Amino acid sequence: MAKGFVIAITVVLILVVMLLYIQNFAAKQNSDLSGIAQFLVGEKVTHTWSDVRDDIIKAVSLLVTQQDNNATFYDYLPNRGNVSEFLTMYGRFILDNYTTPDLNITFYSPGGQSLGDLPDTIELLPQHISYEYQQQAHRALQINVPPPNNTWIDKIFINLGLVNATLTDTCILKDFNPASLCDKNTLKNESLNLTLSFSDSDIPQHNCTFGEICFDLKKPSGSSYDVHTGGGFFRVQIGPLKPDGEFLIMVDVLQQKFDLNATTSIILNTSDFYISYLANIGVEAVNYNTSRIDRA
Amino acid sequence: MKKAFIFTLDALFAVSIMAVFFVVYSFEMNVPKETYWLPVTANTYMTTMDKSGVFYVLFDHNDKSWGDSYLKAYLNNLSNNVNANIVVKVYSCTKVSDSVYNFNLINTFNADKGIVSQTQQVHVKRVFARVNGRLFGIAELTLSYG
Repeated sequence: MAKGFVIAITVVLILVVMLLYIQNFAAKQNSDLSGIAQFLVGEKVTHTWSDVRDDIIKAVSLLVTQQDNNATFYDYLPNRGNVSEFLTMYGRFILDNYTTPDLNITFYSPGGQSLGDLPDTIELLPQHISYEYQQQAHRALQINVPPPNNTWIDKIFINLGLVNATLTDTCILKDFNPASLCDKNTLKNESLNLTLSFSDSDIPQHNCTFGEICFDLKKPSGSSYDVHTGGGFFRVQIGPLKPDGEFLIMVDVLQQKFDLNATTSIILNTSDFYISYLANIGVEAVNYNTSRIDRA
Repeated sequence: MKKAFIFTLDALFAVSIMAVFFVVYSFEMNVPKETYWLPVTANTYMTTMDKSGVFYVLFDHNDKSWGDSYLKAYLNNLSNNVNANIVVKVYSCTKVSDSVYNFNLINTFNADKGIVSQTQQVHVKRVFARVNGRLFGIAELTLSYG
């Protein structure tokens, strides 16, 4: 009886050990599966994010940032196409044809707002100051401001760097003051950097620092300034030129003998605005705590 | 003694059942490698194709037979260490209207390598686009194994 009892107890103990082992094995396997699923979801999120980002980078040579009351556009002219139009279509295309139910793709403005569809205009809102391209060849930048809203503008800086230019000593600044800014001494390293500063005429001229070319935004409409060099030239115009009066500044590469690196800073007298333009791309896995939100 | 002996037999029987269950359970729970390397491999192939610009080339060719051959040649040159079967479909579209979100399918290209299996299959997609011509495309790759 006692011997049988010992055997029985031993068998029961073996059973308990086996149960514990199976439980442990199951927990480990579940953990492995969960880890693999998480890894695969992470892979999918990463690939989707970089896929969308690659397309946008390939298509667009424009970076937009926002800091306090300063909106800055880093651009290259001629642009490869109508950036805002392309982004709108691209945003719709991927939402309709690319996104799967398990993934959300969201576009964010520089201020962090979710954009829904990508906007078809690049605007500072609610002031409705727009940054656009004109002409088929996309060689002209235009900043448009509806007339009552120009009071929001504190200053605009446009830094232009000529790229691939054949610079000669025939560089002429027509109607610029001072004209001496564009002489042989400024044409160093085969590049020409001009900083155009647009502000209200009430600002004293001595605030126009060395190297800047200052413009008065209150000058009569149609003010036009040309920069000629190496057979090419670009024109800076201060509007309004159109009857609707929205035009404010246009930089137009009229003879394409060079490209332009254009950095435009629009400084408002308020930081209460946002830019309706893509800044960040977010890809989120719906059923997992996995996402990537990063600069486009 | 007899009672204890019966009790012991019962316990041994239970252990046998548990052992069988354990073996079956181990096989069931064992994670097949295919479940994770297939998606990784499919994504690697797709990324390689996307970054090499193979899809963008197809924007410039409306001849389906040319496009299919081009894709097939690319697949044939693609290193396939895992001996998986690959099917690629590429859809190219153009934007029809400015005001309506309407895309028009202009062509579909197909190519495959190997024999498609139904045992393990993974699908991955890539989007590609070009500003000039307002062209948009989707590439789908199916990797199957087993």
